[in-house]
Amino acid sequence: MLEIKNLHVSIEGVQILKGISLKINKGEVHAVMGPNGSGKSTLAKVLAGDPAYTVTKGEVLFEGNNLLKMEPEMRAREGIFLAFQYPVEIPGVSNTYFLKAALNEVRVAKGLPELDAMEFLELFNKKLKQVEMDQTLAHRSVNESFSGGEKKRNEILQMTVLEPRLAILDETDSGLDIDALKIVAAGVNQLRSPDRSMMVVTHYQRLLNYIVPDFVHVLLEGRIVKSGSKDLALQLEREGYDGVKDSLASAKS
Amino acid sequence: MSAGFVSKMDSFVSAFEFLQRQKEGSFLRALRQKAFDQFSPLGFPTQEREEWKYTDVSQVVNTPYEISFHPPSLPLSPGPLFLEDLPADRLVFVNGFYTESLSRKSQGLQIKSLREAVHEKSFQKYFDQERKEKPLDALNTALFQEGLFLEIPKGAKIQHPIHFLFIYSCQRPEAIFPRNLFVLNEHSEATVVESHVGLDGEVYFSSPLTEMVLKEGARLELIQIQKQGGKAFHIGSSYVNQERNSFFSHAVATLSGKLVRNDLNMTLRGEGSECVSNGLYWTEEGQHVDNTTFVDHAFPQGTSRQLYKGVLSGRSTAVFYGKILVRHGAQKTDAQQTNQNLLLSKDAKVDTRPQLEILADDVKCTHGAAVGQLEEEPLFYLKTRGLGEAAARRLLTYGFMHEVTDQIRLEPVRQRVEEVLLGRLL
Repeated sequence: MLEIKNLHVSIEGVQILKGISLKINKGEVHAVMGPNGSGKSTLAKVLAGDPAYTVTKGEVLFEGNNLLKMEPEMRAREGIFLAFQYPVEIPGVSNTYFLKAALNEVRVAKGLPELDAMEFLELFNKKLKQVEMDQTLAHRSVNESFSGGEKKRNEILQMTVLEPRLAILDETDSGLDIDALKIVAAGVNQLRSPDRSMMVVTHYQRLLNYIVPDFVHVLLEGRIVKSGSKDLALQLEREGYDGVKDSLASAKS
Repeated sequence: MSAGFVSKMDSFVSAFEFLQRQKEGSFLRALRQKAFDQFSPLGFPTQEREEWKYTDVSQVVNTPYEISFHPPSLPLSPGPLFLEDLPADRLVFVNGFYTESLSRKSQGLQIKSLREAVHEKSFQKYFDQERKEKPLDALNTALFQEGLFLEIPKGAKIQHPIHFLFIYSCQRPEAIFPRNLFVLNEHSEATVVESHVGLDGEVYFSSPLTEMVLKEGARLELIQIQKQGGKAFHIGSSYVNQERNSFFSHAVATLSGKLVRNDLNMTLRGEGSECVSNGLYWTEEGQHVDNTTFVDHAFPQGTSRQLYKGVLSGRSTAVFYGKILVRHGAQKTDAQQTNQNLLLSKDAKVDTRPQLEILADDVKCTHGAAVGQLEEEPLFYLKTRGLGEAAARRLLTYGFMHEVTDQIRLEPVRQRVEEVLLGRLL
């Protein structure tokens, strides 16, 4: 589904990603772990098409197509969804108005008819229940004066409505207490399917207790230094990122 | 009465002389004389006057206007009226003249023409109470052609809104001076919509003046809509005098017009009174919109809230000039004033001057202004959800304005304003 080959990315002249290669097949959940500044959020944002970053080398294929040539909205319509680490507030635009517009863009791209207001509200209310969010959310402006936890849940709600083929979760666990984390994880797990792939970007292993990955990759200084099964996350929890660095250093010498 | 007078300032002189020959009675005659004596040496305001610094009226002055003293004689087919469906008492003025055939008035409404009302005590007490050396206010008093005196009795709560609809359709450039006085007696309530709608592309100059008196505990909601013609000049003044515990809620939406200035003066003359004013403007190529507000906190425990938001596109200009004065002794005043502007074009320009003058020591006052463009971050966020560049920009612009349209509490009016804005976004 997604194939990243030797990806190099810089922002304002500073090289952040220094040759990432990664393949995600249909239905797989990959965790990308790394300390602050390792480039994991950069990877997530580049895949969504953030114009702040420059790809200096490498390629990314999504379903065989050149992803890097697509505008962010094209990527979304093709089925890529980024759950933001810091969801953006859109004052004056209600959640339902926004999400209906987004869903209809995605539906049209899929060749499906647009939903009218009634049909959308029915769907929206169903999805609200799925992520255990309050009805009043419908009328509130997108993310405006939402708590940190509400913002993250709102990202999951959008994902649940838009039903992407590849979901990228950028530190969805940060700032969540354990109860909110469980709700968010449950929302994500409901979306797991043989047709849907996920990339879960996180600093901590905690989230992976609830969203159990098929593969774990460790990102250090812009490179994937280690890949393995879910046990790798547990090893990281025990030894920390310094432990991985040390073992890599001793392996080299 | 004969037809109008043509040429620049001469037409004002001729019109004034014509009115002095009419049998308007000593009260009006004296007022007009005083006002014209005040206007004559001043003339139209120049940019040397502080409150006119950012608005150049030379194009308004340089047009030769006709001033008519009789209703337009041409058969007028206005088509569907603006806000036709609004369940309201509707008072229609065509080129400044009250037009019975287009109006719809319920029985109980206490409304009189200014000339009918001129002998009434409450009229004489409140009419033309604001003389602050403002030349255009003086010009209106000297030359107003017609207008209405609306009085809401003590304790009356008027259910339906009252829609003052000013329609403009001029064959030649005309200067039109509508004039109205609203008196809301103690604890009465009313909602007034004042809309100015230009039907075609002709040049005209409308300069209305509305005075409002809110007695103790009265509540007035006023919604003003400027949907003027593409070549129209509009310089309007509104004065609100608020007595104890009265509440004034105001919204003004400037949607079109070549040069539009909305001058709003709110005076809190009694303890515990409150005023709220929300404004929005959306300028397009060649347009200039000026919102000038003055809030005079003269008594303690007054509250004022102002939020003005503007979207500017093309080569257009806008002004927000707002002043809050908190007088000695107006303790516990709570005043807020915000002006935010969104520039959609590099050629658009906005001058924003929120000002506070505080002479009391126990008050809470804040003000602020912002001018900016659409930000990259929310644009990217919307795009990652599938919205294209244009749709994302539209949604953000709509969201920016929505904060103000949302404050228009009269649903059909809010919808109509949003329709105009959304239509522009498509």
